[in-house]
This record gives sequence, C-alpha cells and structure tokens, in this order.
Amino acid sequence: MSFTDLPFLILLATVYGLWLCCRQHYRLCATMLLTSSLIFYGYHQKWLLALLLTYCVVNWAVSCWIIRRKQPRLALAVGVVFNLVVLAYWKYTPLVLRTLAGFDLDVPVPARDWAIPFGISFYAFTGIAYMVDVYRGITPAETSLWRYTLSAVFFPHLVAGPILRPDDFLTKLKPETMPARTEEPFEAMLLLARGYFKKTVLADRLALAIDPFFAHVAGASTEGVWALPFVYLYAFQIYFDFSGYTDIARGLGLLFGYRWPDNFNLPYLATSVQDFWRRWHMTLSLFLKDYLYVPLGGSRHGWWRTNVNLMLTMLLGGLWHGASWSFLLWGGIHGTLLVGQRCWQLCPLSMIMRETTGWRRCAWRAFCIALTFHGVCLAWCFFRLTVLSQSLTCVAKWFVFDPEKLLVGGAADLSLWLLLAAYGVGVALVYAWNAAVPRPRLAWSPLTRGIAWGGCAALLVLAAVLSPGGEKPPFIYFQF
Amino acid sequence: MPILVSSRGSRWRFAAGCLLAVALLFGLAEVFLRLYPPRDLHPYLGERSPLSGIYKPDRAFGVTYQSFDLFAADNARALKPWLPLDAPPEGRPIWAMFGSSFVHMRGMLADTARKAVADHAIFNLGKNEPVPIRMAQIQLLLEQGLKPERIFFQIMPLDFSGLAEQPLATYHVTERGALTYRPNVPDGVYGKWTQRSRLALTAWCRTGLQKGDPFLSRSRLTVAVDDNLMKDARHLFGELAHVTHAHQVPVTVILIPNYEQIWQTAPCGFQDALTPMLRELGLDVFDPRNAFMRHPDRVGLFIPDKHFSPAGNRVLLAELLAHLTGCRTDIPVRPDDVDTKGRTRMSVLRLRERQVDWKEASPP
Repeated sequence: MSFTDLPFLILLATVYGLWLCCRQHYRLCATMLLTSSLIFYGYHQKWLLALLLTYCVVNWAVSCWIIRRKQPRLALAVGVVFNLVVLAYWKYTPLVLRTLAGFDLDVPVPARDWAIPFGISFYAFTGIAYMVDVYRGITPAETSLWRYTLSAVFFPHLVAGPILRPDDFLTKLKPETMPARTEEPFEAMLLLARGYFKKTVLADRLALAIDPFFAHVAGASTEGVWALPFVYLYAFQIYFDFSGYTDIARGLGLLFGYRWPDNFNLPYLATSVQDFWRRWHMTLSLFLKDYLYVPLGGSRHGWWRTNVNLMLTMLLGGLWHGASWSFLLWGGIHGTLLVGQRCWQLCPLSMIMRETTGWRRCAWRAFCIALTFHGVCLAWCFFRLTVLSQSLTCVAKWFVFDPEKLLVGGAADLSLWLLLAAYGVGVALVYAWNAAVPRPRLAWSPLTRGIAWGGCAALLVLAAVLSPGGEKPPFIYFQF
Repeated sequence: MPILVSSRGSRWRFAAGCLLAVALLFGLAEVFLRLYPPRDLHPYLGERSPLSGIYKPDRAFGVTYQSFDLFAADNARALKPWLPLDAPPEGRPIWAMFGSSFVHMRGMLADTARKAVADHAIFNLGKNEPVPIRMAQIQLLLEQGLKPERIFFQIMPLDFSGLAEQPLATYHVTERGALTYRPNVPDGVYGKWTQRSRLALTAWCRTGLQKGDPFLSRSRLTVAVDDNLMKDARHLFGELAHVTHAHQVPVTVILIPNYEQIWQTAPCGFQDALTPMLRELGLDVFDPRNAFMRHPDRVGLFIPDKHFSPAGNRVLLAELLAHLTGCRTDIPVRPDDVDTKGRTRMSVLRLRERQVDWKEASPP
C-alpha cells in the first residue's frame, strides 16, 4: 500500500477512528495498530508478511539471547548476518547473477519479474540498529515479542523510514509510556498537508515532465538536448518525493502521539558535501555514521585512514540503495567529493575564504552552495540512470549547447519552474515569519491560529486538486 | 496547538483566519490553473483548451480532418508511396487495413499480410487513432481516389473503451482544430461553479465524474455493450457502410478477441452484440475467436505485452484468408467480378490454392 492510494486513506481513517476509541485500552490499541500495520504491508502480496514477521522474530530472539550474556558477540553476529544475508539475497541476487553471466559463467538467469520486498532495507537496518544498541547496552532488550514487532512494523515508518532508533519509538510502546492523545495536532496536519503537496503536486509533476527525457537519454530523440535542466528537475523531484514521504510518515506518527526525527533540512542549501549529508536523509546518515563509519575506525586513525573509512562508508551506503553498480558509483562520487573537501580544507586558500566577511562571505557562500548542488546533481545522474553508459551520456549532455534545444520538453514547462519558485518563496516566507515571530505557537492569536489551520486544510485540498492526474508514480524510495 | 478557542469573539477571529488562508491559497491556485491548466484537463476546457489540431466537426463521424492536405501531412510517411491515390503502385489490387496496434505495430497483421500475400498491396497508415477518426480517414481516402479491393476494419473491446467513456454526443471540436469533450458536470450550484472556476472544474475532473461514462470498466465491455455505446456504434458503422457502399468497396470488420477472451476468462459479449448489427448494416464480419480459443498452444500466440506473436498473427491471417474464400460479396463491386454463385472472384481465392510462404511471413 502506498500513502497516496485510496485504500490507504480508507485504512488510515479506519485505524485513526478505532485508535481514538480504544486508545485508553493498551492491549486493544496495540493489537489494532499491529493488525493494521500487517494489513498495510501485506495488502498486495501476503507472502511478504512471512518475511517481515521472520525478521521480527529473529531480531527479537537474538536481542534476548544477547542479554543473557553468555555469548553476546556470537549472538549479535548471528543476528546481523541473518539480516544482511536475507537482505542481500533479495536485493543483490539479480545483480550478482547478471554480473557473473557477463563473464560467460554458466549461472541461472534471474527471473525478469524478480521483485525486491518493499521496505526490506529499512526494516533490516532498524533491526540491526536495535540489536547493536542492545549489545552495546544503550537500550534494554524488549521482552515482549508483540511490542518489538509493533515497533518494527508500524505502518507510517515501515517502508521508507525515517530509520528509527529504539529510543525514538520502541521505548514509547510500553503500557506506561504509550501515548493516548495526538501529539501537536496542528503540526501533524501541517506535516501531512506539506507531505502530500510535495509528493502529488511537485514530485509527480516533475516526474511526468522529466521521465521521457531519462527514458530516451541515449536515443536519437534527445540528441542535442541540454541535460542539465532535467538533472536539476530530477534533483528536486527526488527531494520532494522523499521528503514528502517523510513528512507524511512523521505527521502520521504525530497523529498517533509519536514524535520522530526529521530526515531533511533544506539539503540543497548545503555549502559542502559534508554539510549536504547532515541535511539529506539524516537518519540514514546517522545510521551509517554510528554503525559503519565509527566501527570502521572513524577519524581516530589519522588522515588517510579517515578518508578510506569515509569512502568505504559512502560506497556501502550507495550499494544499500539498490542492486546496481551505478548506485555504487553514486556512493563513490559522494565519497570522492567528501575526500576532496577534506583535501581542500588543508589548502591555505580555504582558510582565507572561511574568514572573509561582508559581501565576499555571501558571494563565497553562494558559490559553495552552487558548487555543492552541482556535485550532488552529478551524482544523481548515476542514481537516476542505472545503466552506466546512459549515466555517462547524461553527464556528457551537460555540456551540449544546441541553442534550439537548450530548454525543450518537460524542462521548457514554465508552470513547473513557477511552482518550484512559488514553493521556494513560500518556504522562505515561513522561515522569515518564524524568525520574526519567535513566540511559541500556543501564544498565537486566534486569527493567526485560524490562518495556520486554514492554510493547512487548503494545502491538503490543493494536494489532491493540483496533482497531475492519471497514473501516479510510486514513491522513489519504495524500491529501496 | 489546540484548535479549540475560548470566547465567541475568538471563535470568529479563528474562523476569519481560516477563511482568509483558504481564500488566499485557493485564489492563487485558481490563477495558476487558469494560466497553466493540467494536461488531463485540456480535453475538457472546450474553446479555452490550449490544445490545437487538424480536425473539424463532422455530422457523420463526429470529427473529421479539416482538409486532405492536413491529413496527408499528418500521415506523410505512410502515404508517400501511395500518392497520387488514384494511381496505385505496381498495379496490384489493394487491401486497406485500419485498426489498432494489432494491425499497425511492426510484425502485426498488416506486416504479416504484406509479407505473405504477395499479389496484394497492403495499405496501412501505421498509427493508432480513435475509432471515429479511423472512419473519417477511410472517407477521406476514398474521396481522394484510393480504390482498395477491400477494406479491413479491425476492432476489439479495448478500441471501444474510448467511445464508451466519451460518447459521440460529448465530442466538441474546437475552432483551433482540437478534439475535446463536453464535461459531464452535475446540476445545481456546483455545476455552475465548475463553469466559472477552473479550480472547481479541476476538482471535479479529479473525481473522474466528468467523463461521459465515469463508471466504465473496460472488462465490462467484454460482457455486454450498453445501449448508448450500441447507438453510437450503429451510427458510426452505418455511416461507414454508407460511405463505402457509395464507393463500391466491401468492408470486412475484424473482431479480434483480446487476451482474456482467448483464455476464456472473459466472455465474448462485445463480439456477440456487434456481429448482428454489423451484418444488418451490410458489412462483412470476421470473428476468429474459435481459432484462437481452440489453438493447442495459446501461450505461444502472445508476446509479453499481450499483442499477438508471429504465430498468433499467422493464425489470424490464415483464418482471415479462409474467411475471404467463403465470403459472399457485400456489394456487387463489378458485375464481371461476381460468379454465378455470388462469390467475389477475387485474387484471394487463388491465395488459398497456393501455399503461403509462412517462413517469409515471419518477422525478422
């Protein structure tokens, strides 16, 4: 089920209505949330439930084994290996077989309709994080299988995150801590409205405009077409798609009383690639840092080793995204940019530029933002197009300047650029307002409150009305 | 932030704030939609639609081309070898084939016939168009001098889903030559609102209720053809029969069964409803469903996208040739072409007598 499907909206309305009725009864409420999450996940393919529940049982059993303290390291190893092997089987078997077949080895060809169980990466990673935290003693092991299962499969975060730590959610599912009221209804409404608007109006419109170009990027029909505007639009599409999903997930979490961490913080205003990763998919960045980069040694073993660790982390982060070598390249580009940035920081000029003031500082900052954005866009070419030759063709077309084809097709659709500009202006106005009126929301006047609620309601309606219509593109991160 | 507000004055101010925000955002959306209406709304905007085209309204088919030149320009590549139309190339008799991708697509019926039926030239425009436009093309081509020995008009349930969704009565060809549809709007206040507000019309169109038959299910077409669609079909095929009779060209309507019908997971109500009506109008009907349903290798008849495979097309053509062998003439084309038993003495008769080289017919 997807957040934009009609059956999901019906399920949500039903579950929320039931939750309002039974929220004071712990067992009833937990059972209802668990059942609805399983319906959500198994709606199209029931067999996926067996996989999901196996993950839950194994992770819960391993965590219980760890706290018995007899062989905790072995227990952790078993749990992590189980998660990774199952993940690798579903995600990377076609890639490995195709690669081996490329070397003329006699291997079975994977079925064409091989489907990766959706959200498997997210719940595998959540499970690993939980077991490692139990092993490290950061979090106590959950004794109730049902509670652990609910924390792992709760439908708002199940498929595409945010990747939650036990402290973010599991600890709030105990009878004494389970919320019985909606946390911040206005914020929940705002997140839902903003999330749906980002997905259905912005991301889906962008997808319809640029998909034909990327589908024929190496074909004769796109010969001479300047690729950069399409790559810009893709950068915005993936941002709106994924951050829209996160907004909806967080809004749903708030509806049921849970506050979860944000995943995005204006990532395209980052002034460096390092800054970008502090703003983009923040829960994954933190996960990779805590469970990969730091165990590899982090920055504790000198300059060179730090670079190697950074590169390894980004390569594995890239491979996590999908079963294609191009995702590895995507991670490699980000790793290279991060290492490049560390080299630049050793350069005396970087010290000078960092200490500039006034308009020079502003100009330098703008230059850094533009440079980082283009670096990220370069990497997106390998993320969007999973055939290497097509990615390279796309990058080559950044430098094609046929005056008649500079802005054609979807990139020439003025309404898209206007929508993006209007959204940017809207965000800037909200930020400016927040800065100018730092009062807490509870102290808002009735008129202000009315404007805020009315704005949310209107945004939610417009998300439905202004969507491009027709078949809706799925969330991009559902495939991971 | 709690939504509840305490005093009466506060409540009014809260409501005013709500209205203000809604009015502001809806106003902006209205302006945006007037400037840049979404693509799926274009066919329902009538004269305000940004669409343009090469059509004009037509009494017979609802829509036709503004001129032969525009039609020829739109189909330049396919028409080039056939111009001028009144002097056919190579002097072979012509079979003109019209239909969907089951006729046009590479390796489908037209291609298969082109390779297997050597003593006929196969005319085919190679483009998918709505059913009324296919008929308008036939009229235009006949008027311009094309003299096919026979016209083949292929339809299947899917071809009629467009006509079922948007009946002829909803057709509106704009002054800019685009085919648009009159939206089905509700009576009352909201209906009037949709005529004035682009936002309201967009919201209505998002529900899908603006279509002539908003609740059409494509699978329903295989079960039965409803009265409205039957009325339109009778009108269109009646006009087609009128046009072709006037030019003394026989027409064979090919009712291709779809994938589900061949696997007998869907009934053949579409074919059953259309066949008597078409025969009544004097059109020859070819319904090869049994040949497909009884085929020993039904899986092999299809390619993954559910079009016919080369084997499926060979079955279709063989059945068509067999049908033509026993075909009574619909129109006394030329007195000397009709034998004493009333059969058309077409060269196709001879086709059955010699072996068709299927190897040659297989696409590369």
